[in-house]
Amino acid sequence: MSVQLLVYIYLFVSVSMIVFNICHVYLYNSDDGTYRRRSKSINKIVTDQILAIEKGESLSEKQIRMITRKCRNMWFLDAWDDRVTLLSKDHEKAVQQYVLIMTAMFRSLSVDMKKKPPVQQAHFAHVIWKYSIAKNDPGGMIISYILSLTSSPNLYCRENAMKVLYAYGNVDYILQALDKIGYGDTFHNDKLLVDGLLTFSGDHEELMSRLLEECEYQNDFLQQVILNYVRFQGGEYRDYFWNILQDEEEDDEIRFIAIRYFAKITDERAEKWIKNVAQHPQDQRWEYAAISAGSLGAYPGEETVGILKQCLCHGNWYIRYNAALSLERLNISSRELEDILEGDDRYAREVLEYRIRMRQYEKESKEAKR
Amino acid sequence: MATETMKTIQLIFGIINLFFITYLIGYSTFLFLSSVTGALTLYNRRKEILLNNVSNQDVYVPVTIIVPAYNEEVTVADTVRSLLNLDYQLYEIVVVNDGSSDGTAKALIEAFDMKEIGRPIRRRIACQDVESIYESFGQKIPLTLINKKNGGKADALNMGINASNYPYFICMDADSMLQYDSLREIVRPVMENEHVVAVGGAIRPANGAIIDKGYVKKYQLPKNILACMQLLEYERSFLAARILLDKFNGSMIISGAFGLFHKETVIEAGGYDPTTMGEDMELVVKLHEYCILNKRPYSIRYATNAICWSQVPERLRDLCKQRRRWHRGLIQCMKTHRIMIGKQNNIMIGLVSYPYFMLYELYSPIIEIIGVLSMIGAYFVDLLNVPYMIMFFMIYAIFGMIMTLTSFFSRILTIDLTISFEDMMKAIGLCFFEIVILRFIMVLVRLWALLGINKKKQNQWGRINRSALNK
Repeated sequence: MSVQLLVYIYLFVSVSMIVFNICHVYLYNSDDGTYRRRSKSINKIVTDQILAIEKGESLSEKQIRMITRKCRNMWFLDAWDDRVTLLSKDHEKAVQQYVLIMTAMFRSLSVDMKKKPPVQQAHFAHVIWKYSIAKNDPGGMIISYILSLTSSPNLYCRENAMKVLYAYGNVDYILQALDKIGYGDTFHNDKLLVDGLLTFSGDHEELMSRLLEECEYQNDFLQQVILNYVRFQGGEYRDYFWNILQDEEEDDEIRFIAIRYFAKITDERAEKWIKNVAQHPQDQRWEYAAISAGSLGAYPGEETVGILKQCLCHGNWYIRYNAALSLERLNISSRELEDILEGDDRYAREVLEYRIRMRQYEKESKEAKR
Repeated sequence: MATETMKTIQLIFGIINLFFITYLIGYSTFLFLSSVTGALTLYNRRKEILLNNVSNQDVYVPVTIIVPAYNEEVTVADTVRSLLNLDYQLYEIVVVNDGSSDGTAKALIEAFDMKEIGRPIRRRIACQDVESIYESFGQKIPLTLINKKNGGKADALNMGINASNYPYFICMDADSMLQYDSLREIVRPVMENEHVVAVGGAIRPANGAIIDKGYVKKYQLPKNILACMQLLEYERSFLAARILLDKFNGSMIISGAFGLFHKETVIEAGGYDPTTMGEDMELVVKLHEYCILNKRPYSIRYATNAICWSQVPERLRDLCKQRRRWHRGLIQCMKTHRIMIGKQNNIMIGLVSYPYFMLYELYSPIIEIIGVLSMIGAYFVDLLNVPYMIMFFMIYAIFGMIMTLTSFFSRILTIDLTISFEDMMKAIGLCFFEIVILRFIMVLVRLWALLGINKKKQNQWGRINRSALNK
């Protein structure tokens, strides 16, 4: 009886799998087929509408309502996007006008989209970004929908929403969005945020100063995002970063950003501090000395070379390696480094020889290419 | 007396019967769930890509590709050439030549005009000594060749980790080819979750396919029957089982042919173990164990769309050799890492993955042989209904075929490959032979490995006959 049962189970599962496979293939084909069918129908509508605009005609509300109804389905919206992209090559001005008119459609869709799965919402945000739709609707429904997406648990919803906000260029919205992401429950890669902030289309000076005003009240994650953004943007906030450098109570990661900041934006006070740390490395906090050695490449001078040579002979691999990189950055000649290259410290010699040889090969390779 | 003996025999066979019913139901359920989950996951992933649910992760996760090579003069330059053309911005390539006796190093030095350089390498994981280091200066991607004393694949990988400049590394085989978008796909889980310590890629047999600079130019099933059967087997195991295990952080294997790892975590866990034969599985299990014991939140993922094309053996002898090595690796790994069972912060690995590998992989040859022997025994004591048994095996074979074909066609559909009608028929036909013949041969091979035959040949490079890719 039990074997019989097993046979029946197998038979049942096999038949179920065949049914599943048929459904699966049907779903695939129907997706493709539906897409093709819908593309065909929407292509005609979009083309007619854009050509009508080009002739100076206007679109009726009925026409807008009709296309809005269709684009509630993600495949229609996708087909709409494809068609508009295609037509923008030959009818750029008409497409721009058309997209402006279609803001009404996006306003309406932003209400419906709230109930859709994340994959569709992320796509919707992507389309809004692609055509800069939000700019046509200042302070309206579209931007509040986009802001609500920044607290979505889905990474791509948040990321695509942020793209819209960077392109929009409003400082207040960025602040609100960062707040939501920074204090949300789901992980968002800090590098994505820093890199996104660098693409901000508004006033960077205003954004940097507003972010720094809030910075000390934020959590460590947001503080790192803000400070790294200011560092890469090259903002002149020496005093701010100098205060961080001096604050022994401050989190190590935050202070590391400050040291790196002064490798880009030079400062006399910071120079002394960095030299001192590189010269007197502490075993427990070797990272400070390693990053300082790496930052000294921005401070040319005999004293710097002396400190870097000293760092080259340190027991810690990272301090040694970063010192070699800094010497390379300072373009110090082999003659000036003779004492190390002919000295007894094998490790210092090796790392330096490696960087010098590498620089030479790179030069040769560039010349050969010319 | 005779009646009592008969009763005892019946009781014994009854127990065996019950065991096998439970065993087979367990396996079928796993296969069923994994096929369905795999197909649905691939369907959703395709939808995500179509609908622009992507981000530019190629500048945020710098990756070192480590290519351990031993006597690979035929394929190594082609492999590196294909790696230089990947659709990714921030990566470097480190080839570790593990004391090859052929012209592996020469092939690379000449092909890429490499120069010898005294680069210091910080040895954070123990490995054999460096003999020489070469770097290439004319490529857009940094390329390093490290010639070292022979120490095996794990040792070569450890050297590659030591030499790597980036926080993540990829291990791969010198005879494999990464698809153009594979790096972008394999780093996706890292962007989505900060606790990801390793990501496995999907391995697809390259026999029969023509791949140029990471793009599939032509796809057809391999002409070689054995390679073709392996292709079906790969789809079932890579698509189905791994996607299901991935759903609950239960992956215990990341193929040595293509996997991404967080360097610091691997170093903290001790790197690859050069004393084991299955260094790829050992590392993944070790990472689970390390994170569990240190109460670290972690995740080990599987990236279904990160594709690596690899050659599978075309000779039965090579295949047996490869599988014997894999099974011996599995035995060593399961013995060493028993500690994971029942651990609190990843219960599923102890309750599902570990027992699954124990029952359906490690001891399956013994269990299956016992099954065959008990059937023979049952036949002699007249307890076996032969027509019924044949029917059962037929149904079992059909069931297996359906599962394999589900996985195979799901993959074909979702990565937009097209195959000819002939190939489709070939896949359906060979599916039966894969289940009935190849699987049985593999049971014997695994049994051989389990019984410890050929113990001496440990920790060496698994060699199979290979030709240059795309030929």
